[in-house]
Amino acid sequence: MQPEDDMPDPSNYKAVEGLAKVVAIEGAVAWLEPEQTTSCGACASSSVCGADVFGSRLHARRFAMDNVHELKVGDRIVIGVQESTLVTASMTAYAIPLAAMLGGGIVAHLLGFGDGVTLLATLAGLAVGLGLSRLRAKSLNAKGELTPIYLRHAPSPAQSESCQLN
Amino acid sequence: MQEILMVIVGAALVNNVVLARFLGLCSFMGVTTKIDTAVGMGMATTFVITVSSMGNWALENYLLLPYELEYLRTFTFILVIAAAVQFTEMVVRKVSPPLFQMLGIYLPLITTNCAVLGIALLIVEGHQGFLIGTIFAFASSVGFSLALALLAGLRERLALCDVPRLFAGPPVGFVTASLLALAFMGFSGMAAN
Repeated sequence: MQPEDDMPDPSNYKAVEGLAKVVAIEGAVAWLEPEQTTSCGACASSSVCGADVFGSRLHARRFAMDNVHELKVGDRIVIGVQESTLVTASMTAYAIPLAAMLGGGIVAHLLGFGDGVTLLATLAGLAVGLGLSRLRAKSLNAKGELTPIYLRHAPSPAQSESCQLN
Repeated sequence: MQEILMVIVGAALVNNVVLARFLGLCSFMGVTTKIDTAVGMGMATTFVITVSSMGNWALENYLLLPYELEYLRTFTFILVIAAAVQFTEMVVRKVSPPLFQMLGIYLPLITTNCAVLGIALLIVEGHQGFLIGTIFAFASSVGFSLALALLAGLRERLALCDVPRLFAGPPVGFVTASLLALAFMGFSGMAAN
């Protein structure tokens, strides 16, 4: 989390934005839970619809943020990550393991091994790739590039109800 | 090596999974409002399709075919795809919790993406070897990601245009997608040559 003085100007900060709700305060740390952004709440079939799976995943996606904005439990805030961060994160999580996996398989194939050994080499490449991906993610995280930042307070659901109905 | 290149070009461009085979259209329209979300979804789908295709190939050749259980193919493949999505989610969460916060939301959507099952069935019907099958799956999913990124770029530009009110939003998105599919038909000339 950056100090308040270093906060980006929301008017020119190109971010992927999301709503989060403060669910707990522990000392100087606020625990946030991303809000469900689907229209399930307004749908009559929400109880039998597969989209509700996102709701059950919110707890797993809970994350901490330094409470420099004096947040209180129940506050709704807009958080964001830079647009380019999403691409960097995707490349780190998926492209590195995929490249290592395919590299392992192609090397085994070019060395003339059969399908069974190629399969094992591919799995070995995947394991190596996941290790490299973890190292890269640690490095990005240490620089604070993957941390969502506070942008502004969001209106309470009651205030924004008229917008949802329209 | 030339065979591998031919498979990559054929699967990614000539027989593009979205624009030529018309699979995975729900996520094609659903997550293409911004380039960054389209790329995030595309990368996640690429990973899941490649990993699940490896698992499906192994099950098909070491279990279903030897024991003559081909009638269980669709059922088995869906299970493998769900397991691959779960595996990916566990791996991303383990590798980096911040990455999981950002990318985890896309993963359940992939389970119901028909392109994942479609590609696994195409590999089996083509009687491809392990490596060629895996590269076919990878290239097909790269083609899927390419289609997503292209449409997202076009829709970002369309959002700035003065589109007639009745066409604004999804309607003009569908018109754009169909024009993109027509453009990709040009690649079929490569297959003819």
